Amino acid sequence: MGNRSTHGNKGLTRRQVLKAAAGIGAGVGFIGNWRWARAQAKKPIVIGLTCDATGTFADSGQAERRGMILAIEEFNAKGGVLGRPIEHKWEDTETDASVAVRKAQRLIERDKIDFMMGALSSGVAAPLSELAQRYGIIYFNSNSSSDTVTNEKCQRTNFAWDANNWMFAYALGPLVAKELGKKWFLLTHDYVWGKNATAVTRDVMKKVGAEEMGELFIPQGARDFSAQLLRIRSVKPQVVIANMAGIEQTALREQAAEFGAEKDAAWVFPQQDFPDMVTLGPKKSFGYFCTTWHYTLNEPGVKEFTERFQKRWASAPIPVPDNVSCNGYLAARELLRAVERAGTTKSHDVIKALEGHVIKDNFRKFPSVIREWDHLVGQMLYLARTKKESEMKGKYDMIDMMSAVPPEVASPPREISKCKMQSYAETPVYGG
Amino acid sequence: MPIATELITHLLNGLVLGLLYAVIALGFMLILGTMEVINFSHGALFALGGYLALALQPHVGWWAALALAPVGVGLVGLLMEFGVRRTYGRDPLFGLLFTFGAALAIEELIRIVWGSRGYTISAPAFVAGPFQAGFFFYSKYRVLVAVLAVLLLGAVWYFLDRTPYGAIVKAGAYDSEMVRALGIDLARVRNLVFALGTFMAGIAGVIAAPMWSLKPTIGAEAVMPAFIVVVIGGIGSFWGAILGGLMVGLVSGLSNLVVPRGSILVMYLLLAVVLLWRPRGLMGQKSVLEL
Repeated sequence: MGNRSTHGNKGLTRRQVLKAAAGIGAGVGFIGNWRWARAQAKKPIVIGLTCDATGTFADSGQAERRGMILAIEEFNAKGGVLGRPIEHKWEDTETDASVAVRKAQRLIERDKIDFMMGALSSGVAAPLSELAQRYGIIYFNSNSSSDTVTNEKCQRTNFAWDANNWMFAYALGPLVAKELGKKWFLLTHDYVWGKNATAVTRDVMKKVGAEEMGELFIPQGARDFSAQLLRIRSVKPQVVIANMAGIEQTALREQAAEFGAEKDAAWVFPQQDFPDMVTLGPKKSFGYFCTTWHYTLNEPGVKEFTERFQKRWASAPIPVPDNVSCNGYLAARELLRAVERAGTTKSHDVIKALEGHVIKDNFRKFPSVIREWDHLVGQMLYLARTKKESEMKGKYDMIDMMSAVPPEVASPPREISKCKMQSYAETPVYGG
Repeated sequence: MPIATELITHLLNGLVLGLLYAVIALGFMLILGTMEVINFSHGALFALGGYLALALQPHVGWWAALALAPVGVGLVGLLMEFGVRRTYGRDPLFGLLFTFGAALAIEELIRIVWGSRGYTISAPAFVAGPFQAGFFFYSKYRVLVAVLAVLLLGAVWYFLDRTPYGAIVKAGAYDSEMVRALGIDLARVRNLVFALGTFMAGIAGVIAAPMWSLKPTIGAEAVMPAFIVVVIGGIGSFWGAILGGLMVGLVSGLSNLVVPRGSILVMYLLLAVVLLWRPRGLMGQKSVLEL
């Protein structure tokens, strides 16, 4: 005992040792936490961009990506979001569902992205939105237009930025029946979007009393349309509703010009992306169509946005913003604004900040709204035709916006929605 | 449009398609028949022809592009042959693997130079639009395609059947040792045949581009029908390739009239039926495919 006491007086007491250890522990802990907090504050917010550069939607995929990057760079120039810089990581989804899912998984698992956005093909957007829901990561389906992704396949984590088939068909249908005729022939792109577009077109046909003269399916990747054009000429419809998109649509128009088929009937392309029109040029971009936006609109903010876009993307293949790149821009901007409002990147909080949000500075006459019950961005639509070369004021001034349809008329009502969205409890929490 | 006119138009469409397939297939078959190499890069070279014409056309016009682009592809073929020749007389798998690698490399080269997006190509102005005669109407460009294809097939036939060089090529394929013993530089002959085969791929690519548009993977879509045509017609047979091409074209043209979605399927069905009946194809001889 004596020995112990003597030893204790000369050296450190047990209490002193414990105090010192606790002090060091607390110090280390504090420094660690402080470092962690600092690291978190500086840790970039990473957005995974799933935009096509190959396949049917290669042109449009890159156009939407340019819009997204512009929005991200504008936020970074202002010091980022929540004091954190924003980074983007891109994967070419190749307009192929299996490639897209594999690459999206890589973005989520390996690159640890916080959010994901980008899609043109509904065949790609649908599996990506299902994947996103499994992880709980927020996914912005920026430019695909099948209504299934906001209808029976809606997901809590998925938001659809483009107008959909229902909107395009219901906006165009009555006008087409009245002005162009009621004998319709249907061309259906043989994948989820095309089939959905034709199903909705048939609903509209019943409503306006149009008669179906026939339907032909166009496989994805088809290049020779002579057989379809010959069939159309033999059937003699008044109107051809071509529910086709991307490079197949441009190839069809190219060959329609070759066969003189553009004069056989009035051609209607319910959904028209501007990059495809640029590929064709004004002479072959015949027909009527719907679109959501063009840089020639005389609405607040359009001019300034166009100038910023042109400055950033002066050497891009399409150096002006169009419906696709504008959607990409607005999607990225609104995502980052929602993170700011939520004060976190935690998925549930950001979703809550998005649901029901009204976007006033959307470069259109009427505001858009992110609908709470199906996550569709309700927005204006424009009925349009291609300008003649003599009417164009510049190379890209190709669209004559004939009339505008306000969001409340253009958007599908809640009563017909089949969307049964997962609850928050059923949705994994991601990030934050 | 009366049904008879529609039938004739679809048959004509099948005929044009068939002639184009025959041109693609003949280039493929020349290399397969002479060197016993399954040239997997034939499709990629077909695509390269289209892309080279895309680049050349604005500067030199369509006719010059039609002549120059295939020459460019033929030169690529000429160079490729120096690698391929190391596989002659060995397991056909070596040649297949070499050309498979070349196909991937060419496709990637196209992506680097022209990007992954697709291009639609306009028909040259002098054959733009359709012509019409009563009920009957057809694309002017496709008539030009048919005429060019017939001229090309005729030229190849003349070369193989009516010139001493053709005789050497055929003799080289039949008995290479004897040809060498006669003092003929067989290596050079093979080099030129390979270049000719790839030239055919290139010219078919230029002609097909306005009909099928261009994308880096278009070659894979072209080489499969060509392979079917060669197998149906029989390896080593000039007339077999033409007969096979016409059969595939007409069958898919007719199916477009009746069951449009089955136009690809019928090609494979035709292949299966022909092979059940004649395992070496309609006019084929014993070949590398039987090893």
